[in-house]
Amino acid sequence: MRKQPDTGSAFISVAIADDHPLVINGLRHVLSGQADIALQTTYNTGKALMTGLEQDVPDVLLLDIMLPDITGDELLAGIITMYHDLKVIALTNQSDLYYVETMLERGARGYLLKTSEEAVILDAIRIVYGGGIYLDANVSERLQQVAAGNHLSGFIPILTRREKEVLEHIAANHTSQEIADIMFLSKRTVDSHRQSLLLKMQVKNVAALVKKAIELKLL
Amino acid sequence: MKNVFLFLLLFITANVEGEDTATVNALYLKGTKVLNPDSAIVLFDSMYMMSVRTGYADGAFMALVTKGIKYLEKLDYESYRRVTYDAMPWAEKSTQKDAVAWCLINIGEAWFNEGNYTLANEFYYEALKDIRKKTTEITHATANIYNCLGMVNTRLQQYDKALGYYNLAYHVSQQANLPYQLAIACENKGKYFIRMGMPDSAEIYFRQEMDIGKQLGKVDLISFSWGRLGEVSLLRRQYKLTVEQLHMCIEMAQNHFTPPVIDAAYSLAEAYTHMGIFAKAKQHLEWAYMETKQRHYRDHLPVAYRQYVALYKAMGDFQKALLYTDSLLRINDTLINADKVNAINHLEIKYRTSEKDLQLAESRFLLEKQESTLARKTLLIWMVSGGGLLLAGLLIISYRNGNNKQRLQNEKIKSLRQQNTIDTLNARMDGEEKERARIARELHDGIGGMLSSAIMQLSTLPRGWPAIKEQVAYTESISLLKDMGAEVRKTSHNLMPDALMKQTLDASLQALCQSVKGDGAFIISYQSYGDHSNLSAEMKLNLYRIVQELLHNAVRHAQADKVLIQTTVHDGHITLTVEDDGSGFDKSEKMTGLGLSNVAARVRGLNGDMVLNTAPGMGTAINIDININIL
Repeated sequence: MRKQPDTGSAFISVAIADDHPLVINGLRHVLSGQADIALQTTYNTGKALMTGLEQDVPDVLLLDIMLPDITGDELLAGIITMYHDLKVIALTNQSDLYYVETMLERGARGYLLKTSEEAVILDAIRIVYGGGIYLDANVSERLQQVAAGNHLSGFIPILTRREKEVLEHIAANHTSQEIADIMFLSKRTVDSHRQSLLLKMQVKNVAALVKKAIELKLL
Repeated sequence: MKNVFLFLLLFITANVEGEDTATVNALYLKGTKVLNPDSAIVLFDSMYMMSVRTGYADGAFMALVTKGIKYLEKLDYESYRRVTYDAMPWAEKSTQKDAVAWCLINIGEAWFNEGNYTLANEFYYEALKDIRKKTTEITHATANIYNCLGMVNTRLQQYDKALGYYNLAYHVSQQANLPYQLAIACENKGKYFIRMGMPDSAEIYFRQEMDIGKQLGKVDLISFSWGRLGEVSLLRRQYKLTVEQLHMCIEMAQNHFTPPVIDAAYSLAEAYTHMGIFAKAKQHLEWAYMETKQRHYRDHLPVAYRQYVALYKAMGDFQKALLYTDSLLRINDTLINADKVNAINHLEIKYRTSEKDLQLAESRFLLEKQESTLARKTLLIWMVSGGGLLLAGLLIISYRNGNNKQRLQNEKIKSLRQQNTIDTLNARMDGEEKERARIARELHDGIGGMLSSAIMQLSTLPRGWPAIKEQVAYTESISLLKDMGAEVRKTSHNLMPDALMKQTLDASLQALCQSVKGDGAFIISYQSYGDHSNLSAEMKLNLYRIVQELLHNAVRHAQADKVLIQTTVHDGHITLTVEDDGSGFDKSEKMTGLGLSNVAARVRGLNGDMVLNTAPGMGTAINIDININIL
């Protein structure tokens, strides 16, 4: 039942899973008239897609995420395990990086936004079919930003105003209860700040905390 | 406990007319003189029956309220509340304008005695509201409410606020010539000055209390004032005088009033400890401690432990002293709880600002009232059914039962309606979220789908008409449509982040900061500590919305350059901090305009605390603390 990569065939067979008739129509328009691409089937639900794949596996699947029954990200892992030669491109209105990362992690070869033009869609299908990876320009830009941002979020911990206050009291050798009384907080809240201070400064006890705070000129 | 005596006064002003009412009043006087609470309850029951039969609303109200007070003496707070609720319909019909207020005060007092200061405060406020609605006069009830509010604040260690209320009570009592309330205000003010270590001021007020007590012939006031004068002498280290005054207090109280005697016993223990008469000190202390425990006077416990520590220290038994120090620390930790103070502050703000919450409180109150009637009716039906079985046979029972069932059914429907109102109010937020999700979905699927189809189809045009690619109108249309698509995506994401429920709060907030950062030239630092994986979906959504709102405030309204967002999960609580270096604002003015009231409502809905620190030019810092195990 499983279809082997059909490199010798004259065209790339494509299937679409999307519950939106307008979108399917638009795609039909885009794919029509391409000598090397043939739209094979369209599916409206996740369930229909899974049953359909048992009969016929296309070369490339354009998979929407927000399907009405089972979402694309949930379907994807199963699809890739069962049909590991199938190239899946996420075609979605979701630009949330969570979905981008999840879909790529689970084996999607491409990520397209539904506002893409004909040329982009066709490019993506051809590149992915040829073994490449295709990301929407928008999405890849944002992925890079995050990577850069993560890299920059450096080491000097930023203390909140309250933490600074608590830190000063700790350095003045006050107990949590005393600090709580002075700052009109509950002891539990003070303990919580104490905990976040230890975690932030990556130290295990108060002595080390005070030492490090002095080193970092926070005190 | 003080309210108990007030009703004796109240009675004097009640309307007295007719033979039946005279009998009822006689029963009342008899009931108040019976010392055994159980026999008094029986007397008040017959007084109630007679009043109901003759339609004497004042009598029925008095019977139930005083019956309730007997339950209070038995420390049965639940029955106290129930009976007081029953008195409410009669209070509505009473000629006393403050009758309803008294019921509310007494219910509040029951909560006060059980240590639920939030609810106590709520009922006191309700009482104040009711009385203001009905009369512009100052009544006993008004003065009493001020005294009660002062006591709540004293328990919460908000001493200055408490003094404010006591002063109010003092002034209105003086103005309206209410000597008994004036005496109580005196005692409360005196106690404040004792706490502040000012024996001279305290003495003036206790002496005034005693004078009033003597004028009115009120033994309880005299007894209390002797006890307090003893405390004044104790503060002045005049131990012999202390002992004399306290013995006067105990003598006056005799077997009638225990509370002043307990206080006196603690003070005696302290005086004897100072005098080195340890055996006597220990004897008084042990008795007082036992009474305290039996009566569940939790707030007296620190006094007891402190005395034990002092006594054993003086005796040189340091091991025992240490033991009691431990107990003292522990009890203080449970009692002195900043959360409670916060809760009450919030409540006050809530009372003053939010119509909705008031509605909620009223509905809850009505519901409680109805449930209590319902419980009573159910009991009645059981009794009637049983009696019917014995007396009249099956036919009558089924008839009666059916009839009552109908009524019960109606009551149940009513009660359900009340519950409904509460649910509606609580579900408002939930409804808003659902509506947002629906709009987001429509934007996403409907408009989003159409836009993508339009773009795809337009972009195929050059196939048959290559020259169109050179047309500016064509390329601009496509780029405009793409911008629209991006805008729709962003808006629908802001309305309902689809991925929120699929990932941790941590990741969602990070993504949120990332996307806001993309919009402008400011720095957002996001930090999170602790395990965020156990947050419920509702909690996550609420916290996300809170951060969204606060972040929006910081970058849009405050024009901040730097924003710090931090979440810490520790010990079953999540602490959220949002700080910015923006323009800040005047707390008293702009609270509503900034969507902060929305945030505050969310925090309140999660039973959390929110502290806002800001001033013009000083930036803004908001700390929110929520127990994550409540949902």
